[in-house]
Amino acid sequence: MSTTHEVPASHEPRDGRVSGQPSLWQKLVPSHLTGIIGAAIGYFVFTAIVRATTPEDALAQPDILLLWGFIGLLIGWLIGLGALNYPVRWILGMPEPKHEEPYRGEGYYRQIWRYFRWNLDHKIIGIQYLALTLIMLALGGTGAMLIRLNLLVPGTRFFPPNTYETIVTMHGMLMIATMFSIIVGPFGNYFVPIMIGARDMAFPRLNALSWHLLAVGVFIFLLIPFVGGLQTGWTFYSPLADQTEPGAIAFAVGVILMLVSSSIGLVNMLATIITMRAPGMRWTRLPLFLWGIIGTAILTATSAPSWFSGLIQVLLDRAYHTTFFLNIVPGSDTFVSSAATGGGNAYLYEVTFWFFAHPEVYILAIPGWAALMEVTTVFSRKPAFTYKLAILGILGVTLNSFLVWGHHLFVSGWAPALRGYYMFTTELISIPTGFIFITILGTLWRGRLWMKLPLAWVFAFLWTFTIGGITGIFLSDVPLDIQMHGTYFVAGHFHYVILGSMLWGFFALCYYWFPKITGRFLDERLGWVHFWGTNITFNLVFATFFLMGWQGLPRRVADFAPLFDIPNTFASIFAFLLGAVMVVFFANVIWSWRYGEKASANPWNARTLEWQVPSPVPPENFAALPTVKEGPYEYGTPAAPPPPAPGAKPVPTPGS
Amino acid sequence: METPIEHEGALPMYAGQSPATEARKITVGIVMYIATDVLLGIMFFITYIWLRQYNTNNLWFPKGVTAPSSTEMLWPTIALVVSAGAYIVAQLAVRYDMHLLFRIATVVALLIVLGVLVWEIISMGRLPFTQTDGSFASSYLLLLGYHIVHLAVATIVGLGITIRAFRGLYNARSHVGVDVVGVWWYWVVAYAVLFWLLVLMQPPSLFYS
Amino acid sequence: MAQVPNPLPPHRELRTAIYVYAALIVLGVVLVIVLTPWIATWEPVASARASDNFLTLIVFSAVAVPVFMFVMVFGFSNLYFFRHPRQSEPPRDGPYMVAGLGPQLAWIGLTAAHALVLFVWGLIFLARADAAPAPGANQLNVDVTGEQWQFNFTYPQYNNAQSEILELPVNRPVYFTITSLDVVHSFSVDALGFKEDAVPGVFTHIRVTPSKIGSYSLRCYELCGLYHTYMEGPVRVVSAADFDTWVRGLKVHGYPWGINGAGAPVGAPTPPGGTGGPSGSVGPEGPQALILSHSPPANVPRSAFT
Ligand code: HEA
Ligand code: HEA
Ligand code: CUA
Ligand SMILES: [Cu+2]
Repeated sequence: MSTTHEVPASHEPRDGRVSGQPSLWQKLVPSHLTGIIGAAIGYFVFTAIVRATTPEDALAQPDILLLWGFIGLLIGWLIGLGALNYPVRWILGMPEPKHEEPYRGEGYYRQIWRYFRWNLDHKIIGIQYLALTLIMLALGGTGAMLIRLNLLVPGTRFFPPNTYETIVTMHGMLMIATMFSIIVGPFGNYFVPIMIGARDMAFPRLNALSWHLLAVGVFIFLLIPFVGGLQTGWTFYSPLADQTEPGAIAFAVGVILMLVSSSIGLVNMLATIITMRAPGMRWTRLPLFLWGIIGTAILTATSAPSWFSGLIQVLLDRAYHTTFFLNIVPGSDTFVSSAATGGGNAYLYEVTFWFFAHPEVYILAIPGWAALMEVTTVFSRKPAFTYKLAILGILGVTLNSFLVWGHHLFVSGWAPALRGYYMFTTELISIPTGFIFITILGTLWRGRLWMKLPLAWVFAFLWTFTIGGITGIFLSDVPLDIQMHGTYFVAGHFHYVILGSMLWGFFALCYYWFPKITGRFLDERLGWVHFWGTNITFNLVFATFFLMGWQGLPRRVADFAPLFDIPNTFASIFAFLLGAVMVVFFANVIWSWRYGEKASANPWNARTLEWQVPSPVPPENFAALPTVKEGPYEYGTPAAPPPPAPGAKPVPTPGS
Repeated sequence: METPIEHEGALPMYAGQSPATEARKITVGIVMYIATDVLLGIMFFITYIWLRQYNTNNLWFPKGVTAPSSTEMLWPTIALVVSAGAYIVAQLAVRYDMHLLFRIATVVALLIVLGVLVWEIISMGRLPFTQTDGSFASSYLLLLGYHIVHLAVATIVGLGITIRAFRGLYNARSHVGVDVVGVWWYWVVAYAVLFWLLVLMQPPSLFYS
Repeated sequence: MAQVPNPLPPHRELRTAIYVYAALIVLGVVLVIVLTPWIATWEPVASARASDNFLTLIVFSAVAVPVFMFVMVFGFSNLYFFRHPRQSEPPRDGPYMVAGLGPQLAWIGLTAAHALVLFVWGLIFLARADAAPAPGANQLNVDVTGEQWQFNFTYPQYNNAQSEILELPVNRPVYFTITSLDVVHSFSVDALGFKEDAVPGVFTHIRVTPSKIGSYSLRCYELCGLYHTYMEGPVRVVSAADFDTWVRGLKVHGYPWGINGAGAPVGAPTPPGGTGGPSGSVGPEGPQALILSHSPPANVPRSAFT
């Protein structure tokens, strides 16, 4: 094993571990079960209170009831989980509650029920995230299948238009939410502390809160069809969102929770990386994956408040009849189509949305890029070609993201004079993106390519993302965007970039880190079936989108002109095949978790810290904190590693 | 070498970490969390100003309503600034182990915030317009409601700090909690000042015709 | 770093790759120029705006070829040149090779130059698209009002004549003033190459000069609720004389659908069918490729789930 980090090998039992078996009561109270009970009680208590205190006519629309019901649900869930015990005890000056302790002895640690409770261990939260995001991916994918089903033949044979729009909305938002946590959630939580040589996150409680907010957010989001659906698309443009079905309440509350969850989680990671790096882990020794997390965290924390504010305003508009977006004369329901009525403004929503949603699309891309750069170095057995340029690329994209949101508003009529500026900044973004590409290409060049599945996904990324990025450049050109906006060309663009960066990066990381998490490999034969199947069908489906978009097929329509009969049928059939191939992947994950081939601690012979501890990772990661001696990708160095520097002391620990 | 953390109930994964790291970690983290909250507050201000720009006629204020009085709002704002001062005193006192002063200062700061909270809720109920009276009413109440929520949170954590101060949990060596709550406190006060400035900018003013 | 680099073997691969790259650029550009017009057939190109967009599409595709081919050649050729033959771990690491300043600066410079070219092109064509007509030109003003789920048109220079069908004279600059009564719509005629949102409470504008007589389609490109799918209609570009007779035959109302007039109260009035003059006789004619062949399903339940 070639490493020069100093990683103490022994894992002695540590303070805080209690041996012996917990009782059933200890297992169940508190747990997700009590959380669910609490949520149900919370919902009913809050709706009852609102019913009792609100005048009859305000209850004609269910919005206000739903809003408070969901808030009650959230509070009940947190109380039931025992999440509020700590804050309450803190206020009263009492010692910390015992039920949230992350590990108490081997017997405790090994058992399955630890995943179904408020747990502070970052590795357990990582696995909770993995499960949740895979479920979300499957649900979003099922939505995609329903979309394609409806578009298989013309004439809305399967769903009426309102159901179709509801499905599109849910597919879009659910997938976006999946993608912004599918890498930073599972792998970020699991590996950030290990990669910097720490035992846990800076704020384990907030970390747990982040997962549990996402879970309840997704749950509320999934209630949309049961409270009437909504026809807005994931962009949720107001005043349409003010006017559509009460599903909008479930959407807004669910999405707010998802946003808060991912801001909390990412800021936590950022704080961890800033303050808890092991001795010797300088900024220039951080693995690129962590730089990706840093960029993402900055983006999320800075942009999420924007949409948060927009969504709150939609909620108020709906439940309390404020006028942030509706353009009506105050005090009446009369509409006057002229500027300046004392009423709201639709651009306000569009700008608050896109000021979030453009940085958000890079939240979907940056972790994927970072992940792919990470595996590229390992499997080409070479150092990163341009490590600093890669960091600059990530930070450059981060910064640039805040300057370009207007490119989604080229046709909106808002600030037409600024369109040239937005075109400029948008085209500028290809430069920092190019840094990522040059890093990957240069690292591959003259490497010793070890063609394992993670590297295969890097090549898939090169193909897919380049196509997606170049079509993005087409869209950044104002006149061309005026032609293409709202067509399937845009849909083709973003499926190419999102799947190309985030999903391919996720797959690469799955094949790469699965052995570390579970101690077993993902099955390789199924993996190659998944790889080829996905790439072939994916391109057939979404290249068709470009074609249809060029010819003017609008997005979000339940029916289409005869011109598009054949391409739509074609795309649908291959989309079903794509779904089938994805099922192979899901099956592979589930099967290999139990029965996969056993892996050694460092099967890829990688040099980052997480590979220097046993697999699966022991509860406290490191018996004593490690000391870092060199950068993360020092491959290609003369054969033998220098011996660990003598006299480097690990930080002392009590009881050892 | 710093002494590792040993205070009661420390999570096991932090055993072995020095209090200095602990303090740095919490400070950095809380500052970042509050920064996101600040951004949300800024978005609400932007909402107000944005809608104002699109309503340049005399329909901005609901019928019969003139701009809310900035003098009426001056006193609670000043009171909040005083509470921030009291909080600074508390932070300094605990650093020098002046426990009596520390306790008095936390109580004073807490009471002021509580008073302002009650005042704001009452005055919100007495406003001459409701949220359905157009965009001015909507965004004004949004800003006010946001501040009330923050005052409420400040009251709760302030209560925590006071209780913990009386229980003797803070001293010159360990006072991260006090400092962290302080960051929040100053933000709540700064927001009140900004809000007052916004009201001050109402017509007749330089900004809007 | 204090590493001793592995001795680098002579580097023939680079030259081969560059030759392949050059050849593929040429091939790619030719293919793009030949194929793009063949693939990208939206409705007949009927204005300078649309034909400019078409040109831009071809030019951008051609300019993208070097970028695309660069990634393809220098990415995928690795599989041929440097692949470790077996699935087992390579016995030795690759060379310790990190970029010097030169290559990095060259890359930055090239991508920046590329982006700049596209930007300048975009600016020029944006200016062309939005250019005001020559001073003497007889500009036609059309007010467009979107509502769920149709567009209504008013011709202010013709006594505010109103129509649900859009008819335009050929070769005469048109200036659209667009607004909406309820939610955001997007008014677009693909064949004329423009799209502009209809936003409640706001007037947006777009200019276009139809250059070819024919029958095209317009539609809404912004999701606007239940029947967004069906928010479409015919557009006819006719000769000036035909337009004149048509527009003078339209019914004339007072101020239409709230446009231009603060205070005209409109409680979401769906205009009864046929406000637009002789609409009964107007049906889609000619090749309106983008028009649906199915009418909306009747009686859509309020929600299909509940
Ligand atoms: C992962 C998410 C992601 C990413 C990374 C991108 C990347 C880019 N996007 Fe995309 N975009 C979306 C997700 C994403 N987008 C989504 C979801 C929407 C639609 C939202 C909706 O309406 O629902 C959208 C919509 C969208 C629009 C609006 C279209 C419309 O609705 O009218 C525009 C317009 O400018 C655009 C542009 C770009 C550009 C220029 C990039 C660039 O960053 C691409 C840069 C990459 C490359 C250029 C390729 C690789 C680079 C090199 C090899 C270096 C050298 C290259 C050059 C010098 C050119 N995107
Ligand atoms: C963010 C990521 C993301 C991802 C990964 C996808 C994946 C897919 N998307 Fe999606 N899509 C969006 C984001 C995404 N999409 C967004 C943001 C929109 C815009 C919404 C809007 O306009 O508002 C959109 C819109 C959109 C449309 C346009 C709808 C319209 O405008 O009318 C279409 C049409 O075909 C489509 C198709 C697909 C398909 C076929 C996939 C395939 O890749 C899916 C492949 C399948 C899976 C990944 C899951 C497979 C798993 C299963 C099938 C599980 C089996 C189930 C059980 C065992 C229970 N998408
Ligand atoms: Cu109107 Cu879509
Ligand atoms: Cu964007």
